[in-house]
Amino acid sequence: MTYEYAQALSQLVASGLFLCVIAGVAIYVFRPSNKASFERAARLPLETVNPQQKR
Amino acid sequence: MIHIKVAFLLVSNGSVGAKLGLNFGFFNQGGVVSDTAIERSRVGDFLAIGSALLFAAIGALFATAGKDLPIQIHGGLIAVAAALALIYIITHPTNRVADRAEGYFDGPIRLATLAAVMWGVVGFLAGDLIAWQLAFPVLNFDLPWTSFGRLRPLHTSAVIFAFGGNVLLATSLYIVQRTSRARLAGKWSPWFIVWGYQLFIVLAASSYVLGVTQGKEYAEPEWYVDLYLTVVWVAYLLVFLVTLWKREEPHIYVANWFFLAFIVTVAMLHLVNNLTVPVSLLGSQSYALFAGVQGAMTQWWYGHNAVGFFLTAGFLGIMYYFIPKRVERPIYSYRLSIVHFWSLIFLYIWAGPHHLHYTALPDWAQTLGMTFSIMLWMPSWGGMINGLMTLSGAWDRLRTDAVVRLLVVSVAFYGMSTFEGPLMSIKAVNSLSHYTEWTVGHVHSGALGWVGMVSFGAIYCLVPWLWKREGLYSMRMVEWHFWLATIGLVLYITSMWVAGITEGLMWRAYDSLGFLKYSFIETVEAKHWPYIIRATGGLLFLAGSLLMAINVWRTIRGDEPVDIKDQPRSAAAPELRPGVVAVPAQ
Amino acid sequence: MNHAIFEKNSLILLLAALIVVSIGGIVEIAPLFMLESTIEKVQGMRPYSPLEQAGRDIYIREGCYNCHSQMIRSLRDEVERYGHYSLAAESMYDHPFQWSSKRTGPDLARVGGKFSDGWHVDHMNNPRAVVPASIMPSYPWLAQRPLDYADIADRLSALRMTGVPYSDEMIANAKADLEAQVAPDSKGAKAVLARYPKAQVRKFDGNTAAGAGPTELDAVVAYLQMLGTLVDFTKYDASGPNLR
Repeated sequence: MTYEYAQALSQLVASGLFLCVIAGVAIYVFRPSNKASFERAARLPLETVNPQQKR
Repeated sequence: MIHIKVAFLLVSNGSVGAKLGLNFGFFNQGGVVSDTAIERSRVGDFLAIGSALLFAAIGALFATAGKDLPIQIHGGLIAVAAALALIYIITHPTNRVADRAEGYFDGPIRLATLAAVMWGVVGFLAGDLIAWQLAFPVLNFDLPWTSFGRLRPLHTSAVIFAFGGNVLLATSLYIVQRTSRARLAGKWSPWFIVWGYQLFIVLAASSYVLGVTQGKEYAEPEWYVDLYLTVVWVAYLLVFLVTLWKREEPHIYVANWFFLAFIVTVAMLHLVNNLTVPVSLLGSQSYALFAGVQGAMTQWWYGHNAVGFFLTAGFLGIMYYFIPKRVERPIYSYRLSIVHFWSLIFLYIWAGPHHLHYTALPDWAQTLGMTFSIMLWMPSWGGMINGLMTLSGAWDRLRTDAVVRLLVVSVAFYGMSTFEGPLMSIKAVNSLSHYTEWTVGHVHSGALGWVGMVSFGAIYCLVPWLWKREGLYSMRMVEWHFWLATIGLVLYITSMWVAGITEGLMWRAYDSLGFLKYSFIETVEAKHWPYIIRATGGLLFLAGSLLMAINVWRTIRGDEPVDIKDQPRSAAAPELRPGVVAVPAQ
Repeated sequence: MNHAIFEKNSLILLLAALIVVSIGGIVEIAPLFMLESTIEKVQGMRPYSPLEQAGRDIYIREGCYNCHSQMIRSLRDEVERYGHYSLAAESMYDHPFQWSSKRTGPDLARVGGKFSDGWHVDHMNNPRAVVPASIMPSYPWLAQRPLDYADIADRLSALRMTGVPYSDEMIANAKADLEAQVAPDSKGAKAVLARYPKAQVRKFDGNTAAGAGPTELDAVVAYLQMLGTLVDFTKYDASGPNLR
């Protein structure tokens, strides 16, 4: 493997992976069917559960 | 360590604790549990006894057959700690009324919170001492164990791993229970994680002072301490995962995503970067498996992601829980938090080579590191905006609640240092900033500003919540802490900018004849006053942390708060808040 | 993508995070072990002699890397101040590398031969005796402590396991070589030079009294005096990948 080849390959692989991850996250985040679950999850910390009442 | 352990045994024994007025409430009272659960816990008792015996045996072996003094001392420490744990486990079998698996499991969290406050003060003190040493070398005292080269790792480990690590243990174990509505998994494991982690800190810190080190920044502990930490860390990962499995809430809240990524990534980094060949299995010395350029790349892949995952991802988990909780508003955008999470963990891991610009590391790796470091600016600021905008509609809280101010200013410093970082990773800038005090200033704007302040905010939230108090002992002391820390921080950062840029420019200055203008020692002399200003800033920061220690202590002791009227509703423990109707678990 | 898969399954979340964080390391680190061009072909590199390695161990023990770099960047002012920029090959036997990240003190990659032994001895004992404005700690204990080298052969064996080419002969003679390197007129001195070309053989700490064994200071000064002296730059082909 030559130096130039390695350099080109590493940059190609890195940008390909970067695009895949960003695209995957974008699809996941903007899927309409996920909206409700995100809104529900966002309120999770605010719901106080009294430990004595648990179980 | 031993003293703390003994104190803990006294405290956890109700009658003695009550007499001393030190009832920390490590154990909850009341409740009944099914027979099968007790059976399962008894198996746990046997496992705990077996592990303690194993540790005691290994410790005794090191103590008696160890080939050098440090490993003998460490063996003794391990053996004593394991023996104390053994006595405690045997005298507290599960069938006793004192141990029921009911409610949230907060004892280990209280311990980690206290440990964080204590190690914080120790770590800041060590840092300020070495800051003064640079201004006045006589403070090295001409002794091996007080010289800068040994104390600097002590400072970095004390603040990152001891202070930061305990804050992360406390908050992650607190948050995972609340957002999962599940009790922490295990009976002894959570105690093992927190006590075991304190033992790791004592082993690591004593190593450096005794001159035992791997010679790699932020990965100084030797091979056997690394192996021991791996055991503790795997227990941490398992307890965290099993608690998530037990959850009664279908969603995993995003803060837990950050904690999970932090735990698993730190495990990976720790294992790969600490591959060594010990000189002897009974000696403290070892040689790193990788050398030269591969060793450097692995080290900075580790080192930069100790920042990225230990000091960023974990503390973002804190931000995503404590800011919403304190201001009682949901996070600004949950979607943004998910984008933040995936892009942050993907991009951060590439950034290591920016520590090696213009070195013998191949250019292609340097370029990759620089590119990803610059891209990292985007998720970082996305996260900052998400944290800050959570306050929209409640900006008045910044004025009225010093704890909110600590949390929010920390996020602002997160934004500042994650802007400065990508800037410094650009090769042209890095050629000036690298090896200089600018880097030190940058690290501290992140460490004191972001990690420190978000930790202080979380501790001020946690203490009344964990010890079931109406609020903090004194909000005015928090106010003072905030201003001392902020002014100290500003002195620190500005003096290091001046020092770093000055020396960087002096190193590359040429005279009219084309010769280097300054000798090296002239650039050292130029930093004398910045060093003094920096150390003064550090002193203010340390003073603020002492105020925190006093405030935390008086809150726990149950002293009447002096200014309860000035404290928001969310300062009180959840069960003590007026008008809160508990929502039953689904 | 099944919606909510990450929120609902902690193990999938864990694995996905692990995969995402593994990628960067694999792409950046793995090629360094495979690419020939990572480490240039140079003449003169050899493993550290036992005394030099013992000195290096003390250098690490005292945390010198907290303030001194051993990596001259390929920048004009650094090359003029410290010498030829550092080559990857020059740290190929450094377990661990000591490039460091901070220059509170000057770079040491090529400090070997720039100062006399006597200067180093005075400097380690009290840096302000020779550089009045120095802020370096004093290391007076180094001259007083006899060097502990009972396990020096084990240390070289451990290094061989990491890939340093120590021969059986070098390991068998490690202790003798260490002692001979501070005894210039001894029989072993020639053997040290044969096994470790360019090794400097003398009593580095200046204490030449009869029966004076190697001290920690001997080892540290021996290490400092050989730093950057091995590669013969007259025979180095500078057209490698790191040329700038």
